Amino acid sequence: MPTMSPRRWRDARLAVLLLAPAVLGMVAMRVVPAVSAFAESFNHLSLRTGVKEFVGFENYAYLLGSGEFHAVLGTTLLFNLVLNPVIVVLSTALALLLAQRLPAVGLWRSLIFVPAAVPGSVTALIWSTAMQPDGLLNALFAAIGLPKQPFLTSSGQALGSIGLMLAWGAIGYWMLFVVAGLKDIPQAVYEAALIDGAGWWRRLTAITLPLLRRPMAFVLVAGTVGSFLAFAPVQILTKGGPDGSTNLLMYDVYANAYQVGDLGVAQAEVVLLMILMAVVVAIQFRVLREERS
Amino acid sequence: MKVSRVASVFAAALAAGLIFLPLWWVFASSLRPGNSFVENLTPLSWRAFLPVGGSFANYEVLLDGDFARALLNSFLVAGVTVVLGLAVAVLAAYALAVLNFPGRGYVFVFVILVSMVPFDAIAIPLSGLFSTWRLSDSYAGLILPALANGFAIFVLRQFFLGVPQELLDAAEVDGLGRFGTLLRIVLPLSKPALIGAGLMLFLSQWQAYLWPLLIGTSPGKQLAPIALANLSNLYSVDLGQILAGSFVLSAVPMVLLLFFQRQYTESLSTSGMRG
Amino acid sequence: MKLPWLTLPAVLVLAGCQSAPATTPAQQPAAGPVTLTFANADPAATWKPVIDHCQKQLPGLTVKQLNIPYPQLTSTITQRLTQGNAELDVFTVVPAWIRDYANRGFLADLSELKPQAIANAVSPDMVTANEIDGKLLGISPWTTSQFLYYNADVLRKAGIEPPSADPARRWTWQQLRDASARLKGSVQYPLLFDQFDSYYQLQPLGVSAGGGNGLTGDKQDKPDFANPGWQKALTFYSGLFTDGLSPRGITNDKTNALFAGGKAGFIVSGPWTVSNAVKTKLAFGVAAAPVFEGGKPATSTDSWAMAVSAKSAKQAMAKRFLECANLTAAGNTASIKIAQITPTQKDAYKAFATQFEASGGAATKGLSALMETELRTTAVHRPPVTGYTVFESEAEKLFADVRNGSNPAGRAKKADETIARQFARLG
Repeated sequence: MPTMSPRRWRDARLAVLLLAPAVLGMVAMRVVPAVSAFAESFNHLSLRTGVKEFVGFENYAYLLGSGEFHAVLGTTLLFNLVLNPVIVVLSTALALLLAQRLPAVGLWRSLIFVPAAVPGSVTALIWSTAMQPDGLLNALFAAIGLPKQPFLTSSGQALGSIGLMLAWGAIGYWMLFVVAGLKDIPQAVYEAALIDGAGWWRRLTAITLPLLRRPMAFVLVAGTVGSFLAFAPVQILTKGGPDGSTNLLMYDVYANAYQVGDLGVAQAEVVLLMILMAVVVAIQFRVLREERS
Repeated sequence: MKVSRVASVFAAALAAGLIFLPLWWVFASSLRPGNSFVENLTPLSWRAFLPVGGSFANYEVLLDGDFARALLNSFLVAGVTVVLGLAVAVLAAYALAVLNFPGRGYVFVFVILVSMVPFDAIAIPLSGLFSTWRLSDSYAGLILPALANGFAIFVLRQFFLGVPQELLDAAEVDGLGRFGTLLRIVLPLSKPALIGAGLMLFLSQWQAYLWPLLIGTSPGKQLAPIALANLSNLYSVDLGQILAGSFVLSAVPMVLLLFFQRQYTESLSTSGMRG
Repeated sequence: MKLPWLTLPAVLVLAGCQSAPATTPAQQPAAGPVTLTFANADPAATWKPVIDHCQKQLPGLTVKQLNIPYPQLTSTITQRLTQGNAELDVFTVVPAWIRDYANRGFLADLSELKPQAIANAVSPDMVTANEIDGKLLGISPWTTSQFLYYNADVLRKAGIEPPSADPARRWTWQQLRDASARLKGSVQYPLLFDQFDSYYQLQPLGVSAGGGNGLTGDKQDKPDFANPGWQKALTFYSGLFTDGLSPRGITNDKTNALFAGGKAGFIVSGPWTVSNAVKTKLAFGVAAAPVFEGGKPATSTDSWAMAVSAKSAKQAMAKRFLECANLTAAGNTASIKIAQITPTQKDAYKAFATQFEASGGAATKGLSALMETELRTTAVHRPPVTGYTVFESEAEKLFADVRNGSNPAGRAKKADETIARQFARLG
């Protein structure tokens, strides 16, 4: 390592001080329990005898060789590949709309944000009611001449319906962060562009979106982690069905840990889930490569 | 107003109306006694969305009982979490965005990786640790896990990175020092991000359910979501009251956000100095 | 929400065990003040009256509650007990879980209380259901039963003679189906189940159709939903939805509200439906739960049982607490004060049943006698097999898929395979 300048030394010492509370907190509150959970992924506990034994990679081998787990992986990837871009696009579109100076814009923003604050059990109550065969959504469909849809009760639509619920809770929340990013773009840049005669679309693609790269990277990554870890609607509404169509990885973890009681397999799944997320997030960072301005 | 502005307002109101509609249904239903809201549900009638003939009885009962105290506890716990959590996250994010030190990239990757750990998968071992640390049934026990919020660090770092280098250099020339630069230059420019991170911390506690139950809070330290869940007895569930409680729980962050909207506008005027 | 501990699949887990050293509980004498920690999955208010009562009855006793969310109950108990944590003395279990708990050495032997328990119980099988290999491992404070409720106005308008509360004259499922078909169009939902897709609710259908518990083998350790009895039950269940007599997509938290709100013709449900229907002033009636023609009658039953931790150093006092709460009329009555659920102690039961029958006026006439007959003669306990929670959660996925249109034969075969594979991993 090359010798550091005095200023870098000062910075390094200061950085240790500034980072200490956060890093210590994360180690104590997340890493330590995660390590014990990780260790569990190499164990098997017999429900017949109550004996726990070390089994090495057997839990991983079981998962990777199981057709059901492959289906879970496929469902999870498909779900996230579709849902996360939709959330980013919709929250950005809403942000573009609501970062303008409009009458009562604060009210509109707040109303759009609220779903993020609704307790999970109530979100499930709302949507199960709206999506039941004679519910709100089908009433709206009937009003515009569309046929009745089965939503959560059909293996073809259940996953999309769960996605709709999650998107409802997420887009207003992420919109706030994009609005914050939009507020950070200096007006002068737009004024210059207007003088150059740039149209709305040109300003959006040449100025706004490139300058939004950092907040959007945040929204994409944090939103992706959020969607990968979401399981409450599945647990409450579909339990992975119909016919396994909504069996997302995190729900499968929950089911294996809390219902089946196979903690070793559940923790092995958590490890695989984290690897999968890390890969997806690494790709996202690559795509939205960021540098200091 | 220009046509495009009228269209924008219309689109904003429409989007807000559609997204808020389910909550409006919760509100209208919460004005009906007991479970009688189902009467307008199947088949769906326009009455389900009209709070006529209702009353605030559910709210009165709710705020008379344990729910009110739990609501105060939730405010306390969430408030302390926002203040301490922002302090921890701002310092860490500033180090990650502005200071130039070896291993910075690794620390950032660590923060992101830790953020991916599903809390549900570690909550039970963590509650075991908390009981050995004698933190069960204490406010500290309720607050501490929420302070380790990697996403709050992440979002602040992203915004601090957006502060132009020339501004930081100028601050240095003026002899502000690292802390002075953070307080006088970086933070005032980052109000929207602070509000975002603060709401994130607030909501993480406002919706806390599993954790407070796992560390065994006594009735005096109960939080609102648990008081809400306790409204359903073993065999009878009064959905009217639950909907009322949910509406209160949902409306509080909304009102807070409304209140902080001014900060969003303010930062717009200050952003003239960036550039 | 409603009945979380019956509708949600149970939890059997082994929580991540951290490396805290296992401490051997120091044996301490039962004399002097004793504090018991009692873990349960209800709001604290539910258990407060019985705790207050028993603290008065047993000087020196203090009971500290640990209210844990239902889905985390087993994992928390497992974590504490495998760590050798002595800070857990009494906890609630679903009777069907006790074999899994016993296998792991969690449960203290309560057999010394058995004679007293049998003498106090409404029906002896309420006690023996908590036995494994001749050892009594839990005592049930509460029980449940199932009835067929009907909307009297709706039936009258359709000209349907209501079903009878006389268990000897109970309807067949086919009769219920035919009557429901006649209600189509005149009521939103002709027939509801309190808990669609739950094993608790549907086990009696399989049993009554001759399919047993959905298990086979000498030790009842092989899944068997493909047998003719269960196929009959599942085909019947499936038909209710394809014929539009029962709704898909209605969640179980609303079924009782819908019946009480007059939106349904029939509902198969527990005693709790009475207070709901009384509250909304519904004109309703109660009848015996249906049976398959030629089959034997079967009804759902059970609720929580209380158990003592084998690792507890305070077992003597813990047993006296269980005795007070479950085997005395005053204690058992105190335990139902908030929950308003059927008690198991004879005298507490008598008082409850009288008041229960009176609560609905004419609508609930004969209900007390009916409930007693069901509890004594037709109640089917969920089978305490090793890996019960595996079995239950797969069974409920099967029921849900059948409700949503899956073919009963093919889907049952798949469920059997999945359960067998999961059972194989339990060893």
